[in-house]
Amino acid sequence: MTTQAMLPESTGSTPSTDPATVVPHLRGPASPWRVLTRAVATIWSNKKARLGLVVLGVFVLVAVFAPLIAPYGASVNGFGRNQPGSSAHWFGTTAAGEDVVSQVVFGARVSVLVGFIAGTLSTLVAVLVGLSWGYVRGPVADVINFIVNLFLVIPGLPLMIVVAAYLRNGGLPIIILVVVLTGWAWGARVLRSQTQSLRGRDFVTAAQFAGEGSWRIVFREILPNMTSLIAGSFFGAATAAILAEAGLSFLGVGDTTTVSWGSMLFWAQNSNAILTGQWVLLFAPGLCIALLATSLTLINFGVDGLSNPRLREGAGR
Amino acid sequence: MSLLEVTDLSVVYEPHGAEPTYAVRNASFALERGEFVGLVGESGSGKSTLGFAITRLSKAPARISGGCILFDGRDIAGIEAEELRRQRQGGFAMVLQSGMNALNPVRSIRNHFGDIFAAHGHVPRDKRRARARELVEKVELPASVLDRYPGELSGGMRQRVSIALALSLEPQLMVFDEPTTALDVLVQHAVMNTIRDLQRAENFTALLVSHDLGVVLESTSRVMVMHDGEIVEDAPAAQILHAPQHEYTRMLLSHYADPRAEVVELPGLAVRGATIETSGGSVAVPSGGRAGRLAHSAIVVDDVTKLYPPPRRGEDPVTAVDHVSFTLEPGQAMALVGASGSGKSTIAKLVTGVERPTSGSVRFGDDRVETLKRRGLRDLRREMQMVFQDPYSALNPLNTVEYTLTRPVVNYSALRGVDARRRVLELLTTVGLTPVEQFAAKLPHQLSGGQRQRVVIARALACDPQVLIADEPVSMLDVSLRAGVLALLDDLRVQFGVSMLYITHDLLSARLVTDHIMVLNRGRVVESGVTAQVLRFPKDAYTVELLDAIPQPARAGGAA
Repeated sequence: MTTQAMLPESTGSTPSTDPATVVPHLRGPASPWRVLTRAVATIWSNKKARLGLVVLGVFVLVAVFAPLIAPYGASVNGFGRNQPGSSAHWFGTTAAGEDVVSQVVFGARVSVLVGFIAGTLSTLVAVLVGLSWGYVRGPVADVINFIVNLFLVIPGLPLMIVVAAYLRNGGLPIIILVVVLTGWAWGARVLRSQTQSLRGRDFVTAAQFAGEGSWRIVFREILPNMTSLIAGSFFGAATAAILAEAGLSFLGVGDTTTVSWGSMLFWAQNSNAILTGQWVLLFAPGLCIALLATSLTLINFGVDGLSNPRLREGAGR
Repeated sequence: MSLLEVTDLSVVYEPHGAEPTYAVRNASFALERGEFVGLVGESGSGKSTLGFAITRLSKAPARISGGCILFDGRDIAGIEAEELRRQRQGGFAMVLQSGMNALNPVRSIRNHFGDIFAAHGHVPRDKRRARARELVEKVELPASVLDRYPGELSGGMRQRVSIALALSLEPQLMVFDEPTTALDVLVQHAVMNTIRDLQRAENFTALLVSHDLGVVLESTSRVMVMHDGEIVEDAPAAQILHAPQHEYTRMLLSHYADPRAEVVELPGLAVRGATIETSGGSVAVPSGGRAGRLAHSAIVVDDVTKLYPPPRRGEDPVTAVDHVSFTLEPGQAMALVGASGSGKSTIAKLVTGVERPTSGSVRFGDDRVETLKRRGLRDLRREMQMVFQDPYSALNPLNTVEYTLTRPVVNYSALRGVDARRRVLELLTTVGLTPVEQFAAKLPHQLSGGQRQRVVIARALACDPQVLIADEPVSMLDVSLRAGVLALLDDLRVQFGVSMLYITHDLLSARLVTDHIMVLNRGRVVESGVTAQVLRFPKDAYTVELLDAIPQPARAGGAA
């Protein structure tokens, strides 16, 4: 890892007497791209996380190229109803006469989309709240503490159901909003405690002595030191978002006309798929949800090693 | 036959996805029964790795890659875990540097002893109480500590407990890995005395691993010096002191001096030592033409007291600083010395406006520091900068040296872009980090401790301050690097005419770089005056105690 940090243009090689002529602009701590590639390489070096990345990659590819992969459209319902598996319809058809394989393939789009957007948004909220909360002191911190605690004690699923039912048929954006609303508090609390421990470090005091403003200290000095925690928080939030979306759709409070793994389960349940022997209707989307969630959890194992070289070395034993 | 015979031992670190590093190379030595041997080296010399290897405590990624360790006639380099566990009773034990943190916080001290007795079954059940009591008394602790929990004991007491725990297995060989490094100066001295007495009384074989040649020479009869993974010298203590063979040993020795001596010299600081002598004689403000701008504001601390809220409900508040007054004249260098808890760092916080005094006032020029708000503090910091104790945590690990140095330049001056960059490179030249272009692009982990501390100093100088507050700037550095950093601080002070408040527990460095000194004990000033005067003719018992606690290689010479 360390060698990569040394790679960028070795300024010493430019034989120049006038310092003004070399690299006039400032180099940041490390470009985002380099941070990203290094992060992926670190995660890749962990066996469990590698498996997770592969599974996640497959799902993302399926979601992106769904129209090419799926044999039929997602809501094309011109086929016979409740047909068992055959060469034309591998997993059979639903009670409404749709092809199950195509639905599973298109369903990946919703889950992956919700996972990434809701995961990103709730991580973003968690980072903003957690870092400023960890850095400020006094009454403001108490107010934030109260609000975060409020969101932590509210039981997530009932709140989701109430909000989703209230804003019925708002489609995907509403589901994402609900998931973000209920999912950011835990991450904020974790990031806050890390911020508090980092703000006691000398380099933060040193930045104050260097005349830096609070915002710059929080987001330029402290934030980059929490990369692994934020990445971990993202994968956790994305998993929660995927499961929440599936749960809401399964309960029928989402938009039941969208084809997602959750709504497939909802319709399968409605048409008593188990009783008619079409267990694949429940099994296929259920397994996909489980696999996607598992892949994200597996990636989280590798994230632990991002900023902790000890764990990285311990893995060799 | 020797108790321990190590032949051609090599230890290699094989971290995941990185080049293997040979920490110990072909080490060969023997320990006779009842011998007290020292193992000295600077950080990265492989001394701890060797200590861990001979007690078979090496953990991945470290691996014994070759050689054999004959303990009492049998090779322990390759024995299995269970056999090794049994071997620990009556075999070899180790006391760790952070041994005080090795105790389980939720179990009483008696439980710790009980666990060991139960695991090895070498003490009959009915005698365990008596044995535990006997052991803690050996390390000069009252028997009452047995019923207490680690959190209720001080660092020194916990380290004594861990020594007693190591003793409970009646080892033939004890390895002490920096047993006092994490302790306060005065406590260090007391714990070392205990270890010496114990070794003499119990007559076990002991290996003392330390970075401090002074401590080792004071205690041991034979010393092995380690450098870059190799044992470069192995000789009786007296010979190491009076006739060191290896150049590295000579270099280490040259960094010890007695702060009480008439003339104190360290490599690179010799001239300064002589200057102190002249200014000490005349008891005057240091003279000398200053090339740079003169610091023009004095820091006046007037009858300052700082109370911290009580640690537990119902107890008295903690008095960190107790009615302290002093004046730091422009261009002066003053040392604040004392053991930990003496309030010296609190004074630094009060002077820099990080904390506010409970009563009294701190004035800098026309400003009352304790009343400053955010903007005022910023202006204060333009003139007053800090050099931090720990160079490993004072630099953001993700920022390049250039970025770290550019920030204060941009924040406190009108320089931008190319001009700011030129100023950064100039700063790097000032602190001697050349070639500057290369150092500017480096990240902290690519620098050594001494280089990092130079970056920290450069950052403090970036806004051309009037005052430097140096909080133990060399205590985390290896002996051989200290003189360089101290010389740099001193040169800069004279060159730029800044005043300096130098906070330390190390009286030798205080003697070398300051003109005036204040000795603090429990928040009170017990003695103050011209540095050379105070250290040569101390009046207060506490100052004498601090002076006595400094390891003196020469004392070993007398004993041997």
